Amino acid sequence: MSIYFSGTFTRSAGIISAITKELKFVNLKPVKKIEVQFDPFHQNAITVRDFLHFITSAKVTNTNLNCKIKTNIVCDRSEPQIKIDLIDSGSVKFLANNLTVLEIFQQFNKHISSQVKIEEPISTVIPIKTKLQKKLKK
Amino acid sequence: MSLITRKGILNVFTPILQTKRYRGKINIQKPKPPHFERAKYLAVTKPYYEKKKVPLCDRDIDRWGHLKIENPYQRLLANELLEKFKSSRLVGFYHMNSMTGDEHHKAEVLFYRQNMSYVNYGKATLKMAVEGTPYEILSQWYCSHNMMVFSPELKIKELLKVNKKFPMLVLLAAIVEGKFVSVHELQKLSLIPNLQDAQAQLVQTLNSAGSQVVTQLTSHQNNLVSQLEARIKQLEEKPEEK
Repeated sequence: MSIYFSGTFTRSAGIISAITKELKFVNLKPVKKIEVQFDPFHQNAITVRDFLHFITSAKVTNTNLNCKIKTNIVCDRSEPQIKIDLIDSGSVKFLANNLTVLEIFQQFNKHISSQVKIEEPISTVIPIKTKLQKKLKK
Repeated sequence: MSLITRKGILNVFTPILQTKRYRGKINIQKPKPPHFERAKYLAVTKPYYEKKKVPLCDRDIDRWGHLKIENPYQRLLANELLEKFKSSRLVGFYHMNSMTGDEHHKAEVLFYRQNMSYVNYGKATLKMAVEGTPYEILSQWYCSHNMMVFSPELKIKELLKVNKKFPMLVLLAAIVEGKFVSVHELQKLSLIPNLQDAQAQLVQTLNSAGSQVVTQLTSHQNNLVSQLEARIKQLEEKPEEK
C-alpha cells in the first residue's frame, strides 16, 4: 500500500503573489462605501494601510466607479477596522487587528465579490439550418 | 698517443636538437578530441567540487554578515533626511494610496509652489537617519506606503489646502516646530492666526482698554466743557435778540 501524494508539486510564489491573485477577483459592484478607520500609531495598522493601498488601485476601483472609499484617521490607539456598506442592505465589518491583508481579501472575495452574477455573453450568431430543417418548417 | 685517442676517438659531440613538426599546425582554440580511451581517463580524473549546500530554512539568514554592510550612498541619503528634519518647521507624513506618476508630479508641483518638498524615503534609510535622535519614534510606525512633505515655513493652512486636492494622500500626522501632532491637532492649529496677527490683536486689545479708561475719566470734564460752551453761545445769542 503506497502513500498518496499530498501537497503541492510547486513551491508557493510568496505572499505578494497570493495577494495579487486575490486582487484579480475583487469586485466592488455590490459595494456602496468602504470606510477604513485606523490609528497610524497602532502596532497593527500596517494591515489596513496595505489593504487601503491595494483597494484603491485603478483596476479594482474601475469595477465600480460609484463606490466611495473613505479614510478616517483617529488618534486613540483603537483597533484598525474596515466597514463595507453594501448596496442591497447591511454592511460587513473587518476588525483587522489580528488579520493579514491576504485573509481580508480572501474573506472579501468569499462574502462580497461572490455576490456578483457573471453575465453570460448574448449570442448573436444565427444558427445555421440544414436544408432538411428548412423543408420540415415549411 | 693518448692525446690522439682523446681528440680523435673520445671526442664528445653535442648534437643540436631542433624539434620539427612535419604534420599540420595544432589548433589550440579548437583542439582535437582525444582518443576514446584517453577521453575516458580524462573524464574519470576530472576534478569535482561539491557545491556548498544551504538548507532552505537557513537561506535568508545573514550568516556571513554581508547584509550588514552599510551602503555609503544610503548613509548620504540618511544624513540629508536628518538635515531636512532638523531644518524644517513643518513636516507632514502621508499614507500613499495607489497613484500614477502624473499624479505624483502634480502633487510635487503644488507643494513646490508653497516652497515645500514632497519626497519619499525608504524605511531602512529613515531608520538609519533617525537612530539616536529625538525622531527615533518615527521608525516604529513608518511602514507600508509613505510620503513626506518638508516645509521650512509654518504653512499649515497651505499644506491642508493642497492635501484636499489629492485624496490619494492621507495625512497621518505632522511635526510642527519639533512637536509631534496628530491630524486633529493640526487642523486646530491651522485655525489659529499667525504670530504677527495675534501680536497685533493683543496690542489692539491692550490699547483699547487704556483708551477706554481715558475716555471714561475725561467724559465728565468733556461733558461740562461742552455744556459751558453751549451756555456761552446761548448767552451770546440772547442780547442780540433783545
